[in-house]
Amino acid sequence: MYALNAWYVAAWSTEVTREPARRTICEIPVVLYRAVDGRAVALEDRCPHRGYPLSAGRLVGDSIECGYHGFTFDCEGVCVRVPAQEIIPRRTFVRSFPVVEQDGWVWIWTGEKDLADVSKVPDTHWMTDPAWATVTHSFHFDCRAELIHDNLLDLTHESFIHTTTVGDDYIYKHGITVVVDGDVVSADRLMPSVAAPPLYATTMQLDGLWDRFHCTEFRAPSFHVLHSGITGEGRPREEGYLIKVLNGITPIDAHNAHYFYAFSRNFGVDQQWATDELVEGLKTVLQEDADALALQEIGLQTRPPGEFDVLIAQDAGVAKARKVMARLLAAERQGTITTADLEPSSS
Amino acid sequence: MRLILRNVAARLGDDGSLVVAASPDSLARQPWQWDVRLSREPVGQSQDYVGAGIGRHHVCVRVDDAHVSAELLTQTFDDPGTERQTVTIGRPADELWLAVVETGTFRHGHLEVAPGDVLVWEGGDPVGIDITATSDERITVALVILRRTDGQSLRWVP
Repeated sequence: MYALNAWYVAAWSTEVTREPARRTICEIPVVLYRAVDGRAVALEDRCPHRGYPLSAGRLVGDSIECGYHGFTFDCEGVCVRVPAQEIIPRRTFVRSFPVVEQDGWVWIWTGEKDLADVSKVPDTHWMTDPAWATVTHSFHFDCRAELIHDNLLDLTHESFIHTTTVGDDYIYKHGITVVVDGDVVSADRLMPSVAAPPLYATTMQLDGLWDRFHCTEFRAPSFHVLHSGITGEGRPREEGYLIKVLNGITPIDAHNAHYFYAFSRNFGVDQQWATDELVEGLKTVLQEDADALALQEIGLQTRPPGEFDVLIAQDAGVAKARKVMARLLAAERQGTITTADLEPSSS
Repeated sequence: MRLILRNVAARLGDDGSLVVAASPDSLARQPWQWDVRLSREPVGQSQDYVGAGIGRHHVCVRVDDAHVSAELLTQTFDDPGTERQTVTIGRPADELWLAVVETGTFRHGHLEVAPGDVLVWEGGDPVGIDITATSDERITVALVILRRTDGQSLRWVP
């Protein structure tokens, strides 16, 4: 069960080309490609004729031609050609998805088209702001998306999983402030007068004691902005070395997720060596998370029914986020997506 | 741990009241400890809870009195005038405090707090609650103080 009335990151802009690309999102097969004018197109990746993936076909102008029997669909999913006959059967269409491309991210709306509100696409402007430099990574996580949400909302795991990069024991010794505001849950931790973790100390070129902070802002159901950084002791956060970690978490199915990761920084923006350090260091961080959550997924799949997580006060953000997700899912259960919602408007 | 629940984060209780905070916060995980509700009128039997009308609301605090005791106060901060100073209130680390903001706006740490917001403080971080008014309106909160009856620290359970 997924919250479908939502924007999900489907791909990086660079991944959407004139070659059709397949991606599974919330168990929906999607084909992504660019029309001749450059706009990104997302269609259901299953030809209604025999279920063949359209992504295995080819582009003909703005349309995509099924590689099996040549059924051809335009950008709206309307069938415009059936090679073996002149009449196109009424049910010959594929679902099209609203798409927004912004700051290098390609978002698709997987729910009811009428509810697709572009203003709800999260702010990611740091990706294209020249005052910031960005490192990106893409990972397949062998776990349900919920575990990644939990992971980002409880950063005490950094003390144990990421000891060589961003972790330190002082993290779990400091409490959090959790704010719940509509569909946004944030968990903020201020760590005054501490040393920078190894990866930051190297790339920021600093030593001594600093105020470190991180605030995970979860915009349910699919995106986290981690406002993080280091500032002088007792100084405002805005003055410091700032990091915006953007995390697009897109479910594939009940046990797998896409993880689109961007790390934007306002320091050493032109220093290639710092970028190179971060590319490797952050890859290590993500791989450590991927390995840990894959093990956790196995643990959960083999956990006897009736056993639940034992949550503690540090899990306040996790618990509140789960409640928000449950509310979103309950709201979707009350509203039903009908076939009419899925048909192209021109059919 | 500090929890700030904006006014849209509450859930509707069976009796029509608004459950603004509870521990445990999730169903059927650990034994029920307490909850705090808001309503227009008193709800249930008065011997079952600590309650008081504060501003537009009736605040109702229910506890498992074998383990938890509750105290309900109305806390008012005088108008700060033009010179707004930060007031710091000391909270014993073994007590769990909860405030329902009735009137006034203030800054708490780096966060803005407004009427309808609910704040929960527990554990050792923070024990000093700092409040700086951000408007001329008098700050009024319903302050709920919860303690364990065995003298140990009361922690919030998600």
